[in-house]
Amino acid sequence: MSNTPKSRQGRQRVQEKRSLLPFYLLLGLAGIVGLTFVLFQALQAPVAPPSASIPIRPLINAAVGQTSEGYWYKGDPNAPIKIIEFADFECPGCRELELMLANADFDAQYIETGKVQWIYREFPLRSIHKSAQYSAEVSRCAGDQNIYWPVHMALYDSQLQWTNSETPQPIILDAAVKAGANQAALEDCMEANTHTDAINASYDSARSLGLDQTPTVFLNDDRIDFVSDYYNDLKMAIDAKLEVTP
Amino acid sequence: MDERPYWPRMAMAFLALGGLINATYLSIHRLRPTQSGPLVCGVVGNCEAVQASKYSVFPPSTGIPVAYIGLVGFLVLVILSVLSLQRNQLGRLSLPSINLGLASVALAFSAYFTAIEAWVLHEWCQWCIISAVVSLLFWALASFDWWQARRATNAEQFEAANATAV
Repeated sequence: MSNTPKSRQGRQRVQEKRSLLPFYLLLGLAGIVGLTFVLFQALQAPVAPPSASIPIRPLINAAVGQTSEGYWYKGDPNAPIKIIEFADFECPGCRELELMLANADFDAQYIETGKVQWIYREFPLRSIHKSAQYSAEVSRCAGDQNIYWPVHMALYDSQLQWTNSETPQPIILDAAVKAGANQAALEDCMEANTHTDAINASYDSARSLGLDQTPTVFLNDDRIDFVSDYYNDLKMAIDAKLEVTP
Repeated sequence: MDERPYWPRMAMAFLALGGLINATYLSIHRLRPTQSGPLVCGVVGNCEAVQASKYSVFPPSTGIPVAYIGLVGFLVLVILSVLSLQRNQLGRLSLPSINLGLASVALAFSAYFTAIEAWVLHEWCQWCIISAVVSLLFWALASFDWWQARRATNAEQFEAANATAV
């Protein structure tokens, strides 16, 4: 008796609604997770405004040199934590990372205490940044004069001045000279394209690793996913690692 | 309700939600450009350049930020996709047709912005590309769903005609 067409229809509708319930729950969950993630990431206020200048440490009180592949590093090569940064001197995100680390006195806390060795690998995004290759080569030329890290910081510090300039190269050279590089030697080095091949090789190796953005940071071969701000994420990853391997 | 499959409309809802999240991210960057950190730099894109260009508002130079248009547009698409799982009509209009109509507008918008990126700015923003891909997939699913709904309506009419004939 209860199997009248009407009640069958009603039951069908209830069943339909029930079968849609997991979909609604999943959609709602995806929405909440996605929007929370985006809000969390986008609303993170940086420690300093992007235009703030980067304090340059004239001297790093730790081992400084080049790896066997030629990449510049700072910090004890036997440190428990090895950080590899793939970056581009013209990338605003990379500048932000440098700025945060410098303001938080990262070198004093982690590099000079022997906890971290930081290796910088050039990944100049030439397709979008016209001075990326040039600035990377300038940093290597400064390295030849044993003044790599101060010039490295100076290039990031002056990024805003040269990145949108019609004539960026003199500004880049000037920043390097102000940080202590010898101008004549620097110009000779750049004219001779001394480090062009090395920077090209560095770019190619980053691409061959499948990387497509800067800054990309690896901590003992694990890629760090930046979700809040660069410094916090980095500090948390390092501290977590140090707790495991004191 | 007709018997057409649910999955295209479910997939549409998820796609539109993805588009909404993407547009929310860009809208927040638009609202608080100095407070929020710069987007990462990607080989495939330069969002800073695209977002700083005069084409990041519509109409160019004087209009509403494209990110906001995307936010509202995708929100509407999410609501309509979910609604079309429950009913076939919105007032006198058929929901599959509304969905396809709006999806076509979204697709036209995306095509316009992709063309601007390719031929005017020569810069790419990965978030805009994601949005364009979402619009394209949404349009394809909306077309499929519209076609299925039309087929179901035709079949119903055919059955009704047969019933009267008998």
